[in-house]
Amino acid sequence: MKEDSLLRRLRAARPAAAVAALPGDHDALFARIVAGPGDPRWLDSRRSWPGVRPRVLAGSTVGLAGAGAALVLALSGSAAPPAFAITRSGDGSVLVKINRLESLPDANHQLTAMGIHEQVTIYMARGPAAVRGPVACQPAPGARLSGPPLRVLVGADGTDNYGPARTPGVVGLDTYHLDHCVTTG
Amino acid sequence: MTRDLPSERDAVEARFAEVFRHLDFIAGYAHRRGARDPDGIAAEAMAIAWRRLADVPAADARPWLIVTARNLLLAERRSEPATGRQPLGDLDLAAPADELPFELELDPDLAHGLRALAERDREALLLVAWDDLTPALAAASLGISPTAFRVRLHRARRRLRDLLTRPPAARPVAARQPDWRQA
Repeated sequence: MKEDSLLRRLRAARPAAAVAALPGDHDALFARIVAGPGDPRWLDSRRSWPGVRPRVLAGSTVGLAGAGAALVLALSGSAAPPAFAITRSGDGSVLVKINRLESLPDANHQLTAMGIHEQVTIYMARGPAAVRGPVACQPAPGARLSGPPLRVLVGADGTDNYGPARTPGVVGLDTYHLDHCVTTG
Repeated sequence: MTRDLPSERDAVEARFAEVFRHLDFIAGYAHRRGARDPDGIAAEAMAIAWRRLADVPAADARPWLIVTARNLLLAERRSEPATGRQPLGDLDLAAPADELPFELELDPDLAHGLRALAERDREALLLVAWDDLTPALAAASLGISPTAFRVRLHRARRRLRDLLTRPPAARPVAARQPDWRQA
């Protein structure tokens, strides 16, 4: 048996991965790892990777504007551990992926830390997203922005399920989707 | 399109992103070496790489990550299922790997031949055949020179070829049937 055929035989026997590694969670894992000391995410991310998804703590600044109305997410400070990922694309645009709506204030802080001096406000509407995928943010009227284009993705496909167990003040389990987002300086 | 100059933090994260892109590769490596939790090992290897980023070679992080993952695998095998993984602080990342288990689905002859190889010879073969590393990268993964690796790889091929061409009755019995998963 020649060496080449031996290697071919070995390669043919290479075990296939049982499942795709960390499916869909690469960005979240990256964000958790690079969280620095003092950040609530840091200790949370060490030694334990149950599903590689961050925990969600109670308490947020999310509020419901009114029954049937859009849900406006206030972007004030929050101590809740963020569940988001911010990535730069090759074309210079920035994708803000929000896995937990409560993490939006922290996502804005992170944008600032990255030198992107734009703040995102997102508007959620009831029901699932009609069109899946990220939504391009539009500058607020009168805003003069020079940063990279920002896109926001809520959940895996633009839809997030909300309920009283996760968001104080929101009554009744419901589903929302990202309707539009606005950037301000 | 012009972009702002990256901050120092951005530069560090960009550097780590180059390491992090090997996440699936390391998860695959851990899987191919029989890890119970290959994704967890890959994630921990990346967390260690972040904390020791200055130690990670800039040219190609894979050898460094393989050494880290290999030792995390050892810790996984040594730990009791009830107590979880060995604390990272107790790990010696420069320590040599112990014998690797083969509980994977392989054809019996090949599995027998691989088991009969010395661990270091087997690993040399698999780094090339299963992990697609160049001899230089595989040598770095084992902490030996490229020349020494070529010698080891040649020896491993020769021994495995010899094992596979022997009649079954003349084949040596593996010294140990790794069964750490059932331990």
